[in-house]
Amino acid sequence: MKLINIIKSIGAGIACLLMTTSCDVEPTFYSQVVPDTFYTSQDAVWQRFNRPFTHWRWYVGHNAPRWMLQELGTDEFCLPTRGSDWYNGAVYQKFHHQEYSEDMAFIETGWTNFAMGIALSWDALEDLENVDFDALGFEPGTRESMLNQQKTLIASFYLDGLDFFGGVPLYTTTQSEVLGRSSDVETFNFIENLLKEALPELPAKETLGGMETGTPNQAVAASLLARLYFNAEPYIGKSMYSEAAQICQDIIDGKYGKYALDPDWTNIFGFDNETSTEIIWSVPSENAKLETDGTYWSYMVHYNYKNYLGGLEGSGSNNGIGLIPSRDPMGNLYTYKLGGAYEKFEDTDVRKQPYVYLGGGKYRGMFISGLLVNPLNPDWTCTGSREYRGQVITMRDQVAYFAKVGTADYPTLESLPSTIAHAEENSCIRVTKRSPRPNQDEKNRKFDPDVPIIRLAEIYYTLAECKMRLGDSETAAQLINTVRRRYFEGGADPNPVMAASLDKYRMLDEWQVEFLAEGRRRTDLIRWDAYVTENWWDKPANNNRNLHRYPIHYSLIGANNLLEQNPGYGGN
Amino acid sequence: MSSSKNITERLFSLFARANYSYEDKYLLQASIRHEGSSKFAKDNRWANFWSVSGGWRISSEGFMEELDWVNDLKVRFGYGVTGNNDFSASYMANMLGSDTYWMLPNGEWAYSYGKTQNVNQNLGWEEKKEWNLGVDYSLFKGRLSGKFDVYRRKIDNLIYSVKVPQPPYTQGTQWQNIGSMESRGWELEFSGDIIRTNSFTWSSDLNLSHNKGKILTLWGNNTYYNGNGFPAPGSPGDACRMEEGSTIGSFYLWKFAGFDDDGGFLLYNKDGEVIPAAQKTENDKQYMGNYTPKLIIGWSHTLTYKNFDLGINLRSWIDFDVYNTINMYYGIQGQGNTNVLKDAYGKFDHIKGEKQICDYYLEDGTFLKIDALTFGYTLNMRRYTPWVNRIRVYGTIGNLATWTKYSGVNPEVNITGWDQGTEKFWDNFYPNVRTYTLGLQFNF
Repeated sequence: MKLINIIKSIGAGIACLLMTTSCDVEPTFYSQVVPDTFYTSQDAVWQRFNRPFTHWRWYVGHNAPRWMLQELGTDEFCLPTRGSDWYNGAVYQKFHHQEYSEDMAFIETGWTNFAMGIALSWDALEDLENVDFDALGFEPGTRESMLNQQKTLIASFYLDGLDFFGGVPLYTTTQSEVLGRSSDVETFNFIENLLKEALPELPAKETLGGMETGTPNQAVAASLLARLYFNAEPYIGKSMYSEAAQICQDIIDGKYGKYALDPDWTNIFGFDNETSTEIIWSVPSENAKLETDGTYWSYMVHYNYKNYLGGLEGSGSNNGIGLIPSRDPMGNLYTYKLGGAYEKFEDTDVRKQPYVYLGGGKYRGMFISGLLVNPLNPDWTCTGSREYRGQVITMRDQVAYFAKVGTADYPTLESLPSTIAHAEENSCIRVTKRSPRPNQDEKNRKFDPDVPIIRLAEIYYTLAECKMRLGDSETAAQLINTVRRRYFEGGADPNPVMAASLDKYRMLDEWQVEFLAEGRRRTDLIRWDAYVTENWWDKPANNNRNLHRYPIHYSLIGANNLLEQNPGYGGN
Repeated sequence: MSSSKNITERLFSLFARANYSYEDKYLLQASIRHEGSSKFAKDNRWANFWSVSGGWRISSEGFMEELDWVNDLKVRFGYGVTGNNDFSASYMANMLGSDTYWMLPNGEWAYSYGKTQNVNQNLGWEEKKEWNLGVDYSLFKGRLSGKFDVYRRKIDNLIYSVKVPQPPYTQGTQWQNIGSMESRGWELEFSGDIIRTNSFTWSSDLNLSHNKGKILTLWGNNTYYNGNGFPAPGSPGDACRMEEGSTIGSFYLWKFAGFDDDGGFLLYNKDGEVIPAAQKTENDKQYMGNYTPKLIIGWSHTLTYKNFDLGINLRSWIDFDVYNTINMYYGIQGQGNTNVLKDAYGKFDHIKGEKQICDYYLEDGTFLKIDALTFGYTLNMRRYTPWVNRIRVYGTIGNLATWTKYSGVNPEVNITGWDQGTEKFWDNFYPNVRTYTLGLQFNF
């Protein structure tokens, strides 16, 4: 080959390269939506705006970890090892014994769920900044209203972060550098400011019993502010019960909208509860539209409980979680001051009966307890699958290997151990409070109940506890008894709260009975300094106050090396 | 019902190559490649990759003429840069995806829409830069031939899906260029006709290779990345980590210190003290072991005698570690509703505590396998029929034998990448089966 030819070839090659560099390598979109072409209508803007709310719905109403972090490790619920079921690396046993470690999966999700919510909220607002609201025909003020709703939502996420972990990184935009943790006080103030800014700008609910859709209004921001002040002592070491009391009083007085206690508790949790007068904030749910299950059905309910509901489809479950037992294997009541929630209910309390769906969206009872034969339809039973295979099972308020009595290991009832590691398939009473389910013949009502997140009774109880702490037990008792009345026929409360005997334990019992399974027990115990200092079933006090906060999962520190671990964990 | 069609991915590449050869003695080659990929952000789509190589056929030089047993001898040197864009095409587009229904102000239900990925506007091509020095040889009239290569590969702008904090990110992971790594190694090949007579031949091929790698630098906010996470039940943690200077192939585990009287695991903490497993922290983990074999050997033989033929393939990996998750998850009694190994009541009978991700389950994986043995007989059919040339009858035994001290199922685990070396019962786990094949081959 001659040199000149080589040079020619190279020259031609380079020319080709240069000419074609402008070649188009833009990707082409088919199924995906690109922001540039998305905002063509008001609906599209709302759809973008709603994304953080659907995350919130999943986080507080559908996904298990948040509920687990608030209920396991307390005197309310446990997930015992049932024979060969539910050992799972001893993780639930560790929860019950409050042996939290930086590698527990729920603890990782506990962080990523609240934190992702914050990111989604700011991101939605930032995306909508470039949209021309006037051109789309929005009413003036819509953008501001959106901002205030998101601020409220963000405050609710941060409140969980503060409650679970203490001070967390504080973001006001997604365009920020990665941040380390702020202090507890900074986080507290940040939440307070968000709520104070948003509150006056939000709409107040004008119609008593008007439909709730999950949109936060004034009373939501006020309630969140009340929660923040109410727990200020554990959060930042400063008691703010007067401030909390004031807000609660204002909510009850109707300053932030129209709400009233619902005389029938099944309205609050039932199939048409979007119009319950008591609901301040709830996760919407509707059959075949947005199906929200209240987080714990599949973990809680026995494998075959669906048959008790006439074979209700799509209701299979894994028979795990149950109430901390009230009775020992011999049937004697435990003498612990805490735990044993089932026996904290009065026998005449309308909630204390087995759950039965009555038809037409009506139901009674809140528990899965006793012999599981449906009283309205005796063919509908829940039979066992493990120790009691084929037999109709009896849910017991006890934990022990009853099926093994008479074997070499457990010759007598007295020899039965009762611990988190010794449960059977029918151990522990179950709760069907959130998102109750219909029978198969009305299967299209499944998931119609919304999931209440804040309801007026909480404001009554918060005010009651504030009053009690501020020395006014008389009013405290009155407030609680006002709520209690609805649970007894003719209002005949056999054991109303008395000012003279209202103490820490009675107050904690009242919180438990009213808010059982609503995902708040840990916070209440910590506020009373009872979380690590009290004994309950198979859980002696450990007096380790570091446990008031969960550790930060090691993988999160791996993803953000600026995060510092909480004291008492990971070698700190 | 929903349907979808993925984004179109576009890759455009221009390629030029020049070859020069002087009397087949001095060889030069150069190439350049201009490549654009739709997967990257606008400003980072195009990149140039190139290579140069040269060779010197020593055997063609005059001074080699006297060495007539050398048929071919060539020295080669090459350097090249190639690009990698191996990640999902949909990633770089800023897209909105639907979540669940939520109610619009007019009372209708409609999906909510949000970002589906953390677009990284700075993401660019991963580049592999490799130099290579080699010798090709053919001796004794071609009866012994082969090659020897030494190489160093440096990978810059490593593309990796990184766990990122939310906020500021809306999603939990992002593709990033995270740093650089290198690997060095050598490969040696012999190919020989050991016996060549009229009725009997024996030829053999032998490959030897060795490789090792390390992480050179990591950029950005993260000083380390964890990988090779073990699943539920128990979710015991991650078995690998990479950070600056870490060796590719090493495990990152707690160090096993024995068992306590109740059969619970004891581990070493970072100060070298023995602790019960319940007190372990992530900071107590350390690098140990290596799943990259010191030597990988492949050796095949073909023997023929008259119309009979026999083929044997041998494979061996020498001196490497395998993490045995089978013993870890199924070797402890009474933990969950699974069947366990017989060993749980045998050699692991003393273990009563929860499993730990520690070197107790790390084993030497050295093995020698007879991969396949084939025996055949060829019948010449010409003399019987014009339609068939010849027929070969053969039988093959696959997975004939494995010699190893490894106690799991198969020590030949995935060793590609920085987070492997683990026999995973949860991933593509099948028992080794020996196969017998009988076959007929017709030549027309």
